[in-house]
Amino acid sequence: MDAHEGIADAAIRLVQELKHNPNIIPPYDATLMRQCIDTLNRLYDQNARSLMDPTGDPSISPEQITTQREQRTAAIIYIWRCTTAYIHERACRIRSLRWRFGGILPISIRNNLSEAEIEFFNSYSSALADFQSSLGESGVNLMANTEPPKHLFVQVRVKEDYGEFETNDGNVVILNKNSLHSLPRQDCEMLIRRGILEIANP
Amino acid sequence: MDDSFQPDALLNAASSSGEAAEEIGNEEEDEELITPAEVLLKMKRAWQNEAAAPCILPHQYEILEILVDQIDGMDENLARVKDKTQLKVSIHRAELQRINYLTSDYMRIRLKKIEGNVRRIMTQHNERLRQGKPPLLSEQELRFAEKYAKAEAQLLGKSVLGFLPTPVQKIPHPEEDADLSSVYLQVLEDNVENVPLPDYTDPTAEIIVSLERDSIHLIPFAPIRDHLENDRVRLL
Repeated sequence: MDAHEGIADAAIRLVQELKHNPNIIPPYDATLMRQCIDTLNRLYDQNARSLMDPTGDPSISPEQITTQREQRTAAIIYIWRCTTAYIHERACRIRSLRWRFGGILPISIRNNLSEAEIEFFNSYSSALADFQSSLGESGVNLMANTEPPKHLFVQVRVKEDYGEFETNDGNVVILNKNSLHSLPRQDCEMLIRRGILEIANP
Repeated sequence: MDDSFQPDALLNAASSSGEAAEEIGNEEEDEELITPAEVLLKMKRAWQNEAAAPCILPHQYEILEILVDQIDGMDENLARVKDKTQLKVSIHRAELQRINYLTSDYMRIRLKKIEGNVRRIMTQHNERLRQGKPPLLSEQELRFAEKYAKAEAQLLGKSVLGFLPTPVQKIPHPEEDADLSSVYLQVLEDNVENVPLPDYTDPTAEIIVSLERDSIHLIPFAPIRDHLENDRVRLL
């Protein structure tokens, strides 16, 4: 390791990666993560060795050895916090994906996740789905009604061809690009979130 | 969307709100909601409290579930009305959406709070059960919390903790500092106990805040937590 480099640099860089990209999920940085884990394990081993054999190095006084150990422990805790914070913050962002896209992730985002994170997304999805179906006769849909309702209908503009769309009360409309429609707000909420419709007169 | 309702939902809703629910086309809004009006008020208050509180409050799922069943029933009724252009139908539908928003948002806020600090909330929940207080989480929420905690533990384990020496394999769960934040509240009842607050200009003194009915205060959350749980105050 470079003499000017601190022991926790990799850990700090992990956290910075997320901090510098607040709105997206950057690719999972397995290399940095590996470095952090290795450093932490090395520090831990060094500490363990110095505890087993307190008189190991005669050139250093016992006080110095204790101080060294304390510093290593501090570094261990620091790295531990950075790495768990990294995972935790990513988990938060992954959760928000579930609310935005539903149960299926777009490939471009999926590629940025680690295997464990995809598993996490799936189990979060199913926990949420179980919760929703455990209420009422036929379940509730928490993805709908995300805004306080002001109007029954909204004016929407179609941004890409979608084809036939049936509203809750049985009317069928054909959503062609650039056409304007007045639709029940609750029906088109999901389409707005997916970017197929946009509110025409916000 | 909410379009696949079983016919039973109608029966339940009709029996709990009288037969008024049957006659959606002819009845006035108020008449139909005479019994449910109270439920709705309670739900509104629960939602407002939950949204304003810095921590998770004991659940109000009894009320919530009544309303959710009610929504199903009303939806069913609306679907049966032939003439969809009637003004009454639109008004009903708008009201229905408001209720729907209320219940969904209540659940969403609570789920977000659970996700935020799942381990701590589950400990608090068990603690309360031991002390015989009303539970913090509903059955459904508890199941969700358990699954979420497991998923989170697995994620952390497979990403970092699994590769570390055993003593460092801890899952962090931050302390909650809800007690430090302040809330706006309104007093709902007469004779609510006064609240002592520390006086920061004098370490030995206390300021006594008297909570008169209908008065509004900005006050730290901790001392009024009990009042809130007993419905003596509401948050704004």
